Amino acid sequence: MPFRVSKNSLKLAVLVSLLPLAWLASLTDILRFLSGAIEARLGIPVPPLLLGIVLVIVPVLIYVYMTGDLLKPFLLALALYLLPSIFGIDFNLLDRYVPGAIGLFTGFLVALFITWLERDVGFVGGDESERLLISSLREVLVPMPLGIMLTALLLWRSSLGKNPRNVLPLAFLLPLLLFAAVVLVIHFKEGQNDHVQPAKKSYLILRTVMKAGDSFILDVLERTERSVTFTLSGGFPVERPILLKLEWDDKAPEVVVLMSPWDTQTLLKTEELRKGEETYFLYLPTSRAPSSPGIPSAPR
Amino acid sequence: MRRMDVLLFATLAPFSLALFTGVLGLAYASLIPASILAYSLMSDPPSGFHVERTVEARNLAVGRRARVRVKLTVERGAGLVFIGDVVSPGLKVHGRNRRIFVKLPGEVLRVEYSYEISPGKRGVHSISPVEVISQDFLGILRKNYGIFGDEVTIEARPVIGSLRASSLRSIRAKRRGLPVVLSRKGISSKDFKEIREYQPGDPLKAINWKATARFGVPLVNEYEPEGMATVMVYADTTTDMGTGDVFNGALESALGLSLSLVHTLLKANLRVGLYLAGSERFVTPRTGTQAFSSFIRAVLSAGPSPNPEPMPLAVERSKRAGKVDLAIIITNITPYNVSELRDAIGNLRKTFNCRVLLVDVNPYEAIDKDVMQLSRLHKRKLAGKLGVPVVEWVPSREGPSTALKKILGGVSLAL
Repeated sequence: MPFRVSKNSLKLAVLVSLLPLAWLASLTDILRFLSGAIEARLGIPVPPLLLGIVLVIVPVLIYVYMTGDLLKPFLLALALYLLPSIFGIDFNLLDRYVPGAIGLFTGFLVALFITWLERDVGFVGGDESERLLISSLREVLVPMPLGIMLTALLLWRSSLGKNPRNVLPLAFLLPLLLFAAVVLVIHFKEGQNDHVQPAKKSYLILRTVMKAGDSFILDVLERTERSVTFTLSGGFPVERPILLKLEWDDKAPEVVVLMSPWDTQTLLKTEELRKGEETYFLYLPTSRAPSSPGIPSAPR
Repeated sequence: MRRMDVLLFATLAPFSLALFTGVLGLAYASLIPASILAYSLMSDPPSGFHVERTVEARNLAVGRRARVRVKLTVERGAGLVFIGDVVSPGLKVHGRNRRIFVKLPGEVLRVEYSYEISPGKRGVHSISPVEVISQDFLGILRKNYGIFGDEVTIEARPVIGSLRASSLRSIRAKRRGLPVVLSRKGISSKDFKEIREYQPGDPLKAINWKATARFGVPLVNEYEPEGMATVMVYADTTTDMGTGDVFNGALESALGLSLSLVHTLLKANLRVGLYLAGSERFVTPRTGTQAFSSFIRAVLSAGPSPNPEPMPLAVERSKRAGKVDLAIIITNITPYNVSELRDAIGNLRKTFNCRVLLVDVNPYEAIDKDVMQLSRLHKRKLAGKLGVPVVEWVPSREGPSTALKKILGGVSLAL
């Protein structure tokens, strides 16, 4: 059977990056004492590191299995791991502490990306959601080897972060800054060269969820300079998504009010999109929007 | 917090922490998020969309399915592409109409997917234009949005319950003395009805020679039979009928039954009219099955209307119907509308001097069986005060055909 990466196996793999915390925990007096006590009582030698792994990774594993939430345990683990560095860390431990911190932080990043992607593709559900998540994550992590390579180079130069003289070599900073500058230029250059054609047709795109008839008839009730009120009449009342594309031959209003006999929604112009000779004005509901355009808090 | 801010924070935090704690090596942890951030900034979210959507059929009977096919092409960028349309709640979606695709860098994404729709109830339903939203994989940059095509309307015809000719004949046979009313042919009047194909037994003088010469087949003029009874159907479409769910509630049952009744009565060669109380729609009495399309059009997007149009007012507004022999009111009798119904019955008798039959739709079994039983007892008590024959109908128990048989029995009796 070919090996197939699943979402759960991915999450389990990420949990391996909690090992540095287990190692740090194994250095504490409590775990040393516990390890000694177990050996004295049961006669089985249990290394503190093993105990650290059991006490750190197993509870996290159970938590992730039960809740599916990967981010919170990692945030807690990072906080616990970085806490000793604030109070000062033994110089002799630096060559393990620094790579450990990088490993744990990398694990946190992957956990963060998994959480984001899960949120984005989650509504699909099933195998397809898993497939989408894995192929997206693969693309996201493409530049990671470059970062790891640079980190490894710096770690090697600084004797794993222990040699203070070589820890932050300025020689590295210049190419990095140059690279950053190129990236920013490329990013902000986009859209500058787009040739803007005059719009011939305009459309209002109204997008919301409200209680309206399952099949309704749309009519203009009121039209002012800044707002338009549409009525949605007829049909069986039901909470439903609405996506309407309306051709508009006038200046696009700032506010659109949708009124059904059971609900009223106020939508604000949020975006203007150009597609060739057509312009689309996107209207979305907003919590800031007043329930009536007559209210003084209405955006001007 | 926006994702871009989170990623920037993740890039700068290790560096700051290194300076703050003095463990300078911690700053190296910035390099990994920095590399991801740089890569994300260099790549664009997917753009250059082309969408093509085809809908197999735009006229469907309730419950029948039609396939919707969508072709998507994305030319540039890399990231996630969300595509979908919004289907009005009266349409059931089989399969998925909202999808996500992964657009890889350097490749043109060409995908095709399909799903099926089936109307769950009568009406004019819609499928919105296709909406496409794209974002980079991490969702840190600006999203691209596009909307394609126009709204597609699907006209859903209700399923019409009908009785076989033998059932109609048996009802007619049981009610001797009323053959003219339910007979397919009465004595011809001078009111022209239609031109139809010649059938054996048609008199020679009925042949339309001009039409026959033009079309090459023998055609005859048909005239409205005299002495045809007129039946007016009043269907309640006010908010009082909003009981039950969107697909099988009181309103849907009442309208489905109204159409089935109209269809059967037209087939039985009666003059039939329809008034939708609440929706203020009136189809004046007419004959012939060809007239049925007018009734369908009236019913398609009716109610439940918030317009308070009590039944007595509906009767008042249907005065144009002319001579009416029988009025059938289809409603849900409640303590709140019983006095209005009494007034409406009084109005009908006063205006048309006709007989009245009431069909009481009981939608409560969908809520609870006990509720239905209790409401049934209550409704019988209320119906007793109306002084007209009342046909009880529990749509979740009996199909429209059973209800039709009960009503037609009542029609024959009433006429």
